Amino acid sequence: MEEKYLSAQQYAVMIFLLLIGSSLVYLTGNVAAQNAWLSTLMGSLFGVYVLYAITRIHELYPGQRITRISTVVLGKFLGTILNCLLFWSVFTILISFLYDIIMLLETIYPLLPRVVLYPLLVLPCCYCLYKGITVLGRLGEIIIVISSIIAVFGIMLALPVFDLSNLKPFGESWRAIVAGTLYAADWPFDEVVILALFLPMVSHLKQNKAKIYSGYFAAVLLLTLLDLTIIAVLGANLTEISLFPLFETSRVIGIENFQRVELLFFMIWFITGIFTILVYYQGMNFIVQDLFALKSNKVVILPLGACLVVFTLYMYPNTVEYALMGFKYIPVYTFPVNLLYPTIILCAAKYQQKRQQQSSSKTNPLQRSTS
Amino acid sequence: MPPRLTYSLLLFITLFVLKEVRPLYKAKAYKELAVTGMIMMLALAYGIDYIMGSQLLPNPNFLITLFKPLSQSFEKLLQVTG
Repeated sequence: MEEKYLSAQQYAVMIFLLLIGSSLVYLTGNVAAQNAWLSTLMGSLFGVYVLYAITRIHELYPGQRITRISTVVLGKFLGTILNCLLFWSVFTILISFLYDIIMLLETIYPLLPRVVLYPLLVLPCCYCLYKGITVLGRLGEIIIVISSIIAVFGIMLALPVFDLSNLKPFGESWRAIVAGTLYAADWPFDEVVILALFLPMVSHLKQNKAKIYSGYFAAVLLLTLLDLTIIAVLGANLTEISLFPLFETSRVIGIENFQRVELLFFMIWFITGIFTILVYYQGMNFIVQDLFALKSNKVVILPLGACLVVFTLYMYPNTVEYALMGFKYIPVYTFPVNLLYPTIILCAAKYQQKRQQQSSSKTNPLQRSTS
Repeated sequence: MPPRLTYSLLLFITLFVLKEVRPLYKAKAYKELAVTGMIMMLALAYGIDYIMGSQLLPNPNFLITLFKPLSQSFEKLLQVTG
């Protein structure tokens, strides 16, 4: 059994920051053009399901990590295969996050090469993970205040430059909305599957389920509002061609002497982005720990950090390659894995519990007769 | 630019030896030592391959590009542009 390091509130904050941090750089559901906000709302339903599945699994097998439950309910062979698939999904998502942040940092520090920026980003993350999960939880509580204030402030500042005609026509192409919904479901909403690995560390989970869902819905609300803001300010065409739509939006915003609002946005991008990397990095450590049945996950922090630096450089040598892999091919793999991983384990866990109940009800009369 | 990666890798290896290898060796945790050493060797091998530009090792992107046909048929079905 894991020790309880996180409060339900810290876990809810984790969900909120994970969703915001992983998707703030780009526009969620952007293939749906002016209906991206609708795709975001619909895509969030997939995340609700994943959240339900992981909490239900944890209720069936309390105090155990999902990677251990998978080997218990599916057998060692099948469970390990599923865990390997999850590892690859988490790894590809994590290096995409890392590339996103580096791409953003490159626009601010153009003279610093990526080879230097990657270790500069990964080593502080290693340090933070060495400090433990409690530190991660507390860091989230600090970050959420700053990022929420800046996000709300930014949306309010954007109100004068809102052009609601940019949001029309509503529901023009159902294909685009469906595609946007599926993309939004994969990124960022299905990514909450990683939080299944943190569930055994959350105290009083059963009593605070509403808190956890509220963290999720707050993030959905903020992402939808940001989608609406970006499209209403930039329009669908400009949004599609800009690399960082929110960055472009924040550059448009400004009232008289109050200019350069993009620096505020850069701050929340960076801090929420780092937090997302931390959560995924820790999740990857847990998976590797369970795959190799190690006593501690801390021993893999530095070797996996080195892998992250090298593989991000190796797999994404340039932005073109990243755009192709990260936006076209990776979602085809990560979406079904992140969705089906908890589904298969939940079905197997329910089936096994049912079988156990049936076998115990069959053996009980015998026990009674022998006694 | 790639030689700069050498310094980064050296930094990771030094920290790893100081922080993990010595305590694990003293605690006789050989399994942990073997697994972490293997992961570090993997990073080192790909790092050297990247520095040399030789591309002798298989690119992990191969595992991602396997999904290219599926991605293309999805885009065709839903007429995704951009």
